[in-house]
Amino acid sequence: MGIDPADGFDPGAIDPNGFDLDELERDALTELGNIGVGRASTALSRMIGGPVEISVPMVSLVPGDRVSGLLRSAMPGELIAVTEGLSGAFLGSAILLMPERSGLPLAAAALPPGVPKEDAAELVEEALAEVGNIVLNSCLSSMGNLLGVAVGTTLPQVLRGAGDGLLERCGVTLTAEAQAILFHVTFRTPPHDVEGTVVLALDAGSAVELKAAIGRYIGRVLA
Amino acid sequence: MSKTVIVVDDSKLSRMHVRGIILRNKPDWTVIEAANSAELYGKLDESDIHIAIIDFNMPGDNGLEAAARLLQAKPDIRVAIITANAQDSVVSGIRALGAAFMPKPLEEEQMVRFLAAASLPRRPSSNDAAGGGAG
Repeated sequence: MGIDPADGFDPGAIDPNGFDLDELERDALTELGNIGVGRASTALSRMIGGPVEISVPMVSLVPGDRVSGLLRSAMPGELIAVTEGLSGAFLGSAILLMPERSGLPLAAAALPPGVPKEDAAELVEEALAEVGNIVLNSCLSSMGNLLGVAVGTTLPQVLRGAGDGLLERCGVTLTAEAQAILFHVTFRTPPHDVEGTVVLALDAGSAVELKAAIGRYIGRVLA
Repeated sequence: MSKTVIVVDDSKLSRMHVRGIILRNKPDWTVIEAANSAELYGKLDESDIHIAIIDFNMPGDNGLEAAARLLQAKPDIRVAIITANAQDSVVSGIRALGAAFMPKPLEEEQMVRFLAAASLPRRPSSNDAAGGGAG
């Protein structure tokens, strides 16, 4: 497939606050992300009625105060965010972020054929919300099932902007104590390249809970 | 008779998982591992491999590309491709190679069925050793 992961992501980033995963825990989280993104691509492909190529997700663990810098280097400029609040086992936000230029082609691909041009414009936000909802829920539900925890989400909101302001509106806590997990993955929907990053922003307590859940998952897999 | 299986996956945890399933059910078989397609190609001539279980979404050549190249070099190898990506294009690509489609997350029962089928001599008409797995 040969889709290069974005520059600027450091999968080996060490959290100065001591929240870190060992090699096997990180591998397990990457595999959970891989399964989630695989499921999401299947759903997305049905929705747009054509193949979707996905890159191998790169996983980074990032303290809240470094999220926007990292995202800026990976996806500079204006972004579109489809965000959902998390409830249940983990508290925080799940966000599908994409560069502004990915929005229209992705929405156009997701709309059913035969939508009149004059209606298409107002349906863009709705289509993006639906795509985001499918991608985020495919990821979260397969991860939740494998981890044996229930993850709930609120309805998707589509926001536009850049940097800290956008992340704060998505409900991301930009402090060093909070923890974000970035699954950087490229979706390619020929003829367009649509890029997206799935961000799971967890509050500090949830990050610790996630680590525990990953430990139990590894135990079950290797039982 | 004892078989040699190569497990190709960039996730070490996944490789451990598959290895565990194989050895639980076929204790006398040999399992070797490759972390990506390049490693698979490098290990092809090292031992007499009968069965390959290959992850789809990997850095470098994906599982389909790897399986195609593998079957070109060694047409008798039985192949299963494991993937959470069940798009029509992926599933039909797997079928076209005569490989077995195995959804992720992996179900032990399905893997056991594939191993059993792969132990038998190849039936000329069969192109999916594991039976219908596409769901």
